[in-house]
Amino acid sequence: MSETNHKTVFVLDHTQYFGISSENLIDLDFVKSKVSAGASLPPISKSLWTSSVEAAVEYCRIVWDLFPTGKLIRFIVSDTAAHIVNTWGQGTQNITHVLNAMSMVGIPPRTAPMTHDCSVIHGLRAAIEALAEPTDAQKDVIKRAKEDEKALNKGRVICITSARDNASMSSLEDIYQTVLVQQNTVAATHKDLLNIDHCHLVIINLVPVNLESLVTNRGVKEVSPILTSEIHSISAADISNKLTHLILSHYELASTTVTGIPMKEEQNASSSANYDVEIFHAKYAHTVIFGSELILPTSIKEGAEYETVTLKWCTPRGIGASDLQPCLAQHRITSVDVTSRPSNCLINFLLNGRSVLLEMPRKTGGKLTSHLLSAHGGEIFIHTLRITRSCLEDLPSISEGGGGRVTNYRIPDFGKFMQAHKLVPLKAIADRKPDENLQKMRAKLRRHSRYWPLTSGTTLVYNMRQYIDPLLNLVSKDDLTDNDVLQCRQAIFSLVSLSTRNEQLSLPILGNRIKAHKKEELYKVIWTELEAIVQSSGSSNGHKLVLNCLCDCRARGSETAEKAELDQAIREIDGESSSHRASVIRATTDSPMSPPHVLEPAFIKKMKSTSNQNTRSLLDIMNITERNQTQKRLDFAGRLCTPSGQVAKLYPNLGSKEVNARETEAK
Amino acid sequence: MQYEVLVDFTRDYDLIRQALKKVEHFDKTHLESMLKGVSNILASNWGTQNFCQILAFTDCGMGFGKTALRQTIANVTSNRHDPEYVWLSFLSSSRLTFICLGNLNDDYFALAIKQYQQFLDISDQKGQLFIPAVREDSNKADKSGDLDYNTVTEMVERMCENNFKPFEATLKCGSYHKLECSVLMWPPPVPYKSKDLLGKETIQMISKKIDICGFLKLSDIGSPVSVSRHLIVPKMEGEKSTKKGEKGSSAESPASSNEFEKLENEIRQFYAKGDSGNSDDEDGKSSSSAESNKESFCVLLHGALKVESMAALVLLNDNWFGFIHSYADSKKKSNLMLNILQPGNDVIPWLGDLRYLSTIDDALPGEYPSFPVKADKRSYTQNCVVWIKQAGLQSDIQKVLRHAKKMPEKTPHFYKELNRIRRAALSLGFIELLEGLANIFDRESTVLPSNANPDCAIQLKHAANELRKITNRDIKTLITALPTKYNQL
Repeated sequence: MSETNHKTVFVLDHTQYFGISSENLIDLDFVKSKVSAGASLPPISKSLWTSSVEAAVEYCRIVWDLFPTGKLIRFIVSDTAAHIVNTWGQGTQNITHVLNAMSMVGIPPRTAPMTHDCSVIHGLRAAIEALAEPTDAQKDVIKRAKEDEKALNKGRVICITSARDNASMSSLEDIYQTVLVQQNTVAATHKDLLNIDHCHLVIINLVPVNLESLVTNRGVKEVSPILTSEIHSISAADISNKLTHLILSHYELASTTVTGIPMKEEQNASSSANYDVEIFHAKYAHTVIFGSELILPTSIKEGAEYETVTLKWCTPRGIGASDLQPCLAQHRITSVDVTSRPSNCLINFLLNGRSVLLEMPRKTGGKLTSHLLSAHGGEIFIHTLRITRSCLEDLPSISEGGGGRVTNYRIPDFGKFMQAHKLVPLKAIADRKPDENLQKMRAKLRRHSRYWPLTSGTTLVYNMRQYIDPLLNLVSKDDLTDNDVLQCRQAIFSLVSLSTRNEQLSLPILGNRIKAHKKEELYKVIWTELEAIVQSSGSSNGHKLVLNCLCDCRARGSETAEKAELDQAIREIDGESSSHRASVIRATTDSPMSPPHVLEPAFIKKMKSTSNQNTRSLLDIMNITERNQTQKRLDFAGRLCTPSGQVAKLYPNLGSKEVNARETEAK
Repeated sequence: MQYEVLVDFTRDYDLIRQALKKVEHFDKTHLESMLKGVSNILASNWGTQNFCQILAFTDCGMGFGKTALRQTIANVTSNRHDPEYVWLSFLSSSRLTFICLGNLNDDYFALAIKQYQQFLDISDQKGQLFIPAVREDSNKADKSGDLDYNTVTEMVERMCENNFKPFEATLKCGSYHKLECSVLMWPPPVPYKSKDLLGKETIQMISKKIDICGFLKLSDIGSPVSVSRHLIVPKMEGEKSTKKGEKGSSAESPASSNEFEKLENEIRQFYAKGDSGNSDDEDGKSSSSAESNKESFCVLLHGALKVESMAALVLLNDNWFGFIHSYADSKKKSNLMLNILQPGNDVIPWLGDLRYLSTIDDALPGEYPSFPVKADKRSYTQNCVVWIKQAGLQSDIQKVLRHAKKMPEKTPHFYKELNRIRRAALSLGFIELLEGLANIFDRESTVLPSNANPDCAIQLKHAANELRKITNRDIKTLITALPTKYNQL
């Protein structure tokens, strides 16, 4: 905020003299086609006024393209009085506003007004007053500054006028200095006004093309400690060039020319030629390399007084190669000749999402890609890439470090976790407070990761999603709907029935079928882990309901613990484990006409395909119910162990084993 | 010859050893030319973004005459900002360390050390001198202060501890204790200097706690400017216990995670039993081998980031962010990399204010947030009018004439372009163009090809008349087509 270029005021001379022709003739006969031989047309010429407005507007175009905020420009038009075109408010800091206001201002008066008080002085006086007004950013700084701190209020005034000779120019400077000092005295007693700590006055003396100016150019001169001024006397044809030149130093900009852009010929689409496009951007995009520009190849464009860095277009490779490149600087660009066809071509190419690498020749031969052009959100940026060596070369692979040899990380699951926590940019609307340091987002991540085993070797439940989904997806939500709870309960019940039957689970991680006696332990661990998952995923009512259901199912198993001994005895008498018996029964009773087994592969497949989706259709729910019904056929397994007349116990061994397990843990 | 490069940058110790054997001895020290040379070598090899260290092993010679250190100090004091001393500011961003080899009892050496320190002070270097330690407990013979192997080794160790200490931090994602990992960052991040709005300099350093805030697609991030990049490697627990003898990791984990830890162990044991029968002594073995092959969150994170082509947005300190992503140079080796962004919440225009990032479920109904955040239109996307060069004006006129010849089909286009030119001319006060354009239209209407629609001539004449009307000098009025039987308006 304390840079000179934070505030710039253009003072445009709107006196009668500026209505005269600049004598920079524009031929209108260029449209004459070969066949038509109509009368030739008189050439037209812009007025001095038109020349100065278009040059000033072009200056703004470049500044506002490159610095959408923080670099403010005001326009003041001066004739019999000062006319203020825009304010420091961001809403009026755009080309459309300025041009619309300029059309209201109109052309300078043709005839001299009655009063003789028609001059650029009114405008300069208003410009000084404008510099004393704080901008929003300055107000903000003042508000936050401590007592002993003070932000400098500097500014630049660019005055386009026409003076008779050096003497009148110098008196203009004197008046300016006097008004400046006066203004500061006024500001001292006014709390809404700022003292002007420094002002840079740039006077452009404009003359028609055919006239010789009596005002001589003068470089920067320190008029007083608070004022430096310079004078440029130029012909109307060169004013835009002059301002484009001055803008480089005013905003520390640099020019890059992208060379060798292949482009189809306008008239002949089959042939292509190479074109150059010149762009402007912050100078730092060049200087950051090595801290000096010495090594970048430069040239001077015809008619220009400044150097441009010439970099070669490099036909882009695939998309993605340009992500997270080592980038030293990124700055907005704008093309110097914005309406030219090559420039349009480059801009549209970039806006369509392609990136362009720019090459510079290497000292030792070969080439280096030093910059990258790419568009983001409708703006085009130049990225300066690192071209020196980095200490980050030849790095070890992550697999060589700690934990690198572990091969069973749950990478797909973590991928899903990341997708579920993919960030999007919300709009900054009034009743949405900014999430400072992303506290809320981090809290969300914490809430969703209370239990997250890293490897498939430390989890059972996450390896058997097909048997328990959609429960895992559902409980990871913050809130559960009634339907969600219902689905979770169904998933739990289906696991209960699997467990009751001591069903073989097909878990790839277990490889071959696990031994029979391990199956009971398997289910025990599954229940424990499932409880841990549900308990840690949330504390909403829905989560509580699911957890209750889960605990009930487990508890119903342990209630019958005292009966377990009896069971055991019966089993010993039988000399067979119940599951074994079940398979024997199956083997002996199943005929080719029997309905399919509950966990026939085709059915599992179907379950898997449905479990991948978060939402279940009515069909899926019906399938589950149907499945539950078919399962009833196998309830025999449990009942076989129960003496007739008694109620069959669900998982009789669950409780007893758990007690055992607790005991071993205690030891 | 003022200096000689014995070995270029290398990681080959043998090469360095061989080269050191060939060092020749000379009688004069010229510190300034050495530093200038070093600064050039560093700048051209490593640029400004790498933090460089310069270790000078020296007997602290002060030089003679013009090239004496005393003279350099005098020159630097008076001409610090001369372009001739640009190399000094480069050195200031690196660390210059002198390992002073000499006897402190030697008056010349003692004086030299003072001068070297003075040089560091006046030239604004972050550097430091390492001088031989005075050993209290040694016997008389050693009190001579002569250098020996032990003294030098001790100095170098001191220097390493001081200059090459790795940066340790904790990388964390969410709340599960396993989703947290001690990491080493290399190269160590350096403090970030910035000036606030009032021009006051502030120095910030990233925190030792790096917290993941969420994830973004790499293609949405693009290549934003970063302050620095750092390799992230999981810290081996062994390193800690051998080096500093701190407590093991198990003591650090909070009580709440014990339950989960027990569960994980139970599952691990379950699997282990499945693999190798069911004997109890196998259990003990498997848990100890699990310790040595300890899983690391870093590896999991890296794998998932790579597969999903995403990066993790991390909080580095108050209002300071970075990205962690999987990085691979030309070879197949890939690893975890941290890009430190400039401090602040609004540092990448196309990602918007980072404080407004959240997951999609926080969006309001009807809000469809997505990257990139759209900026206001720039001049190059606005079809703006620039007539500074005659070619710009001529191509606009040609365009309107092209439409003119294809009327009535192109009548709307003709008037649209015409009004665009007219509006620009009125804004610029370029009323001469209005007359000029009217003249062109008049002439074109007379030289239309014989197959042209009669409407062309009618509309061109109408447009020319409208352009000439003084009453039409208001930017808000539009010139509209004359209704004719051809255009059915």
